[in-house]
Amino acid sequence: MTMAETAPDASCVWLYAVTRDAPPSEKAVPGVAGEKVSALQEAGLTALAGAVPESEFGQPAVRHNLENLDWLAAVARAHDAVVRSAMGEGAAAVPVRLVTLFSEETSVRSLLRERGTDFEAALQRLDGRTEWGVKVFGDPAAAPGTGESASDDTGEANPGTSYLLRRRNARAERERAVRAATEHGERLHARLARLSVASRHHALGGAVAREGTGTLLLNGAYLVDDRDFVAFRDAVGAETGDAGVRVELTGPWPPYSFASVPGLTDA
Amino acid sequence: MTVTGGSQGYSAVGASGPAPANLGDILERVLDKGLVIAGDIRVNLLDIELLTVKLRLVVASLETAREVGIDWWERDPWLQGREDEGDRRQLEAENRRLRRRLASLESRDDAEAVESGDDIASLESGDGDSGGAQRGGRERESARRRLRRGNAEDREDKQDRRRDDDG
Repeated sequence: MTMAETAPDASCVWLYAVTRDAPPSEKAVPGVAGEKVSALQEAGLTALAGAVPESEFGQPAVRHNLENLDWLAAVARAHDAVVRSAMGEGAAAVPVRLVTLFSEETSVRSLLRERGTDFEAALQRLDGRTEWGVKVFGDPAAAPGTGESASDDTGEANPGTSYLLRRRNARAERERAVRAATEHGERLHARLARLSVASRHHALGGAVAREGTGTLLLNGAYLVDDRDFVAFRDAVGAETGDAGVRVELTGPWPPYSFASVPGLTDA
Repeated sequence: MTVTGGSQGYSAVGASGPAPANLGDILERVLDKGLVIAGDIRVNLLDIELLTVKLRLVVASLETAREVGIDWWERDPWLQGREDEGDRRQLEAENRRLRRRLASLESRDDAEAVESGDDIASLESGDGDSGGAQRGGRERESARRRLRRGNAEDREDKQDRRRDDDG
């Protein structure tokens, strides 16, 4: 990460997560600016926060930097690593969105003081629960081909008509396959939602849509009670035998997708 | 089932395992999820509204780009704004136009195709005065090629299907 050569650099405070107890010191993970992350304790809560240089993370630099994929990747990884370090054995943490900056530590402390009960309620909801991601891809290899082989008897006399018929058949086949796989994904989502405390659909056209091969049909996030994880995992695993879809389980995740705190978040 | 994120079983539960390798998964969560502190509780919160930042990611290194799948951000309306919507519509319109042209070309024999040369000129410019029958064949091939390319997009396919059903 590059920093402007203006020293001494003013700093602002980057917030990572809110939890109850400070993570054990042996887990000390550097922050987004390589800084030492502090555990700010206030009102029975702990905020993980770090002082980051304004020249890189303040306005207007951060806007520019966010557009640099390498910078963004490093910052996202570092942020995620600190959030994970806050989560010990079953310890809950509320992850905060990337680029939540305060002017100083006292601002973070007053946030904990003023909204302590809201944070505590949110943490209780997350206790003993873990976020898991499940992605279902339609497998193009299992889908029917472009229908070249079925074409020969559709009228050699008129290659144009034959071509269009071939295309129509191939399209219908593809449509059937996509519909079947989509329904498959929806059934799986319904089953997993029953095994979870909460569930969310992530965007199908977003960050992970292009990964690997196949069409992303389901991109779900599930908050699963740790006691129910075996059943959850088995439900995901049971789907892999089906042709035409590929099922991927990701996690454990900090509860990013379930981090809304009533009273703290708009709407 | 593929399990990523270093969880080798129930014992790994606790979200303290190694970070998942997939950058796309991480970005999706840290950029779009996670607690947003808002409303009257903004205590000296620096006013950087990530939600409103329309990221236009610059591919700084090929390695990072590969990690997220080279072009996902180009397709993400949240990251891109809606500016690519126009391009898509243009492509769809062209696809429809080509399909009509193809259908009409297919319904004629080559000799007739010569007479519609002025229409065809819009498909392939700079064709000069090559023979009519030959040109018709080549134009059809060109139209097919472009059609195939256009059909790579399922969304377009759907649009066209709808249109076909109407017609």
